[in-house]
Amino acid sequence: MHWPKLSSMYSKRTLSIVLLLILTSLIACKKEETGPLPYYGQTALEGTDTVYHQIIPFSLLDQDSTVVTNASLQGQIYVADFFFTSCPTICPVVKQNMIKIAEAISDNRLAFMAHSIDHRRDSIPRLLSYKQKLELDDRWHLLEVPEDELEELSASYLTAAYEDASAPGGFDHQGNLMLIDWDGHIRSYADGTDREQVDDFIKKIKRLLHEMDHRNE
Amino acid sequence: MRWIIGMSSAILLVSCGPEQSYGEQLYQAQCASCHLSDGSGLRGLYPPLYQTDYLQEHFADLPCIIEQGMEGPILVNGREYDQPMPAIVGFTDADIANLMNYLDDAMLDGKRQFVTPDQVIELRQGCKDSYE
Repeated sequence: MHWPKLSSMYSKRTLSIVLLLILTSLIACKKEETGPLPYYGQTALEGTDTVYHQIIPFSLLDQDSTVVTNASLQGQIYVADFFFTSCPTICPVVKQNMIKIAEAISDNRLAFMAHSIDHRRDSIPRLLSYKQKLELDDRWHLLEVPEDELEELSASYLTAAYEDASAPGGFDHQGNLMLIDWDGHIRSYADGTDREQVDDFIKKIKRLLHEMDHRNE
Repeated sequence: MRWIIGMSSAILLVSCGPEQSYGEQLYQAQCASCHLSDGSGLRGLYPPLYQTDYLQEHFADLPCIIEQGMEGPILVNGREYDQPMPAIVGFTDADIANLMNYLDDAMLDGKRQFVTPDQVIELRQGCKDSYE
């Protein structure tokens, strides 16, 4: 009668461990879904203030030849990515997913900043035609990035984008989507080719809009 | 116990689903990023394939289009598209045959004759400089 007792003890213990795990994950998930989003990038202390990583100052031309700067986006949050219009690999998937985000959230306080890394081929008329073909609304800025600013700007978004003759289409870059808040801080990240990550990213954008509503309380 | 085994095998069967054909695997890996998984295309940028007159009429051009890519405006189901398609490198004749058979089944009426690798070789010999 030794074995049955041991096995029932074993199963009780297993059961309690499983229950504990479920409970922990429930609590962990719940914690993730409320409250302010985290800040990405290096943080520094200035006196008693925590200073979070910020996107560097930029001044870029969009598809309508309008100058877009950090200041012109004030009062808005935005989703940023790096792409090029003739990109044969991941860009189409990332763009589909960005469109999905734009369809899910119609709020005018959300902008889209798609940075072209192909300074040679992606002229302003070409960016405009790309925007029209994709039927993108006025919240979208398809931006020209001067060659000498690309590396520093993409690094500031904590993503990689550079020219590489051996890569398909001539450029190597990551299909990341970055969520930037009203102060230029990176507040969320997603692999723009991953449907599940993008669905989660949509929830994070809604949370950040909510945070924006309540930031002066 | 029997109940648990029954349930879990049922769940496994449902979650695994039917296996993809090789042609479908090639489509999902090489074509779906622009033309989408169901061939519906992406707005006015990437043309659809599903139930299109263009695919219907240019079915025999597929080996050449895949090998050479395409450039210039085309009309698909009455709408104009003008986004270059890159050449797809690394497809064998058998790959192209598999892909064509999948496209016929999934995107058109599936009534065409089964395409063989030998037919693909033959079709490729008639490649033109460009396709419109």
